Amino acid sequence: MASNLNPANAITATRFLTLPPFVWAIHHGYYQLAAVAIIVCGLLDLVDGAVARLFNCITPFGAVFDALADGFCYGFFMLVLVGYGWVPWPPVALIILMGVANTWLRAIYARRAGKTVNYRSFAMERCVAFAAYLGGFGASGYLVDYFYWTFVAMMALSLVHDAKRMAIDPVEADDDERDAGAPVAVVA
Amino acid sequence: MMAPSSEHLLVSHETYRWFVTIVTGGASSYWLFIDSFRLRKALRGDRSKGVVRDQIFGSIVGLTIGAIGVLGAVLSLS
Repeated sequence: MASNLNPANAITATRFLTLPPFVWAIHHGYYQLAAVAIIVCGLLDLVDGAVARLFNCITPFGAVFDALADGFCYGFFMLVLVGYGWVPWPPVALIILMGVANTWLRAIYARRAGKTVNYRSFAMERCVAFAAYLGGFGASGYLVDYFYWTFVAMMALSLVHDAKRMAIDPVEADDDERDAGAPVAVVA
Repeated sequence: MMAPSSEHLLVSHETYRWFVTIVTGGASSYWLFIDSFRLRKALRGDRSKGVVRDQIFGSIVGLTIGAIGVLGAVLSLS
């Protein structure tokens, strides 16, 4: 197995370096620079996966670290925007609450499965990708209410569906198929 | 809600808005295309399997998100 000290994880780590410039830009009202920080963070998210495949350094830690970086960075962007009053707090609060509920449901699923397993939600994967855009929309003041509230609706729908699958439906043998290469969602 | 400052812009506000609209519309259209392809593929699978039903649901969510993005870009233009 590849070492955890590899180029892909190094790129994932550099995503956190976009957070201080983002805060600085928001604090000084430079919304376009703030959006650039978010775009760089998103591009690094694309690059780390490609580098992991290119250098054959895919590790379980890398998958978890990538998901942690997703949840932390996107959550951080939204919380800062709320703090500075650029986006409304109710949808962001709901998004974070649903993220916590989703993590809790995954723990329930792992306990029901009787092993350390990550439930791969195809719907929530789409929502996480959508979340990557929310920071940019918030920093740009671009249809903020429309995009944030539609995201809340889509995430709620996905969460209800996944709650039934993770907490109520029987754990199926073919559920193992979904785990291949699945990232561990932390916030979403 | 505090309005973002218009000082020290990289490009004009109008140009920037066009950029965001084009990126949003382009990415959403791509999303619609990919998920319609994935949905067709999933619908050909064995729907008695939970994982296939979840793939179908995921693709429908993806299509809806793509439609939301396209509609947002259209709303921004209007």
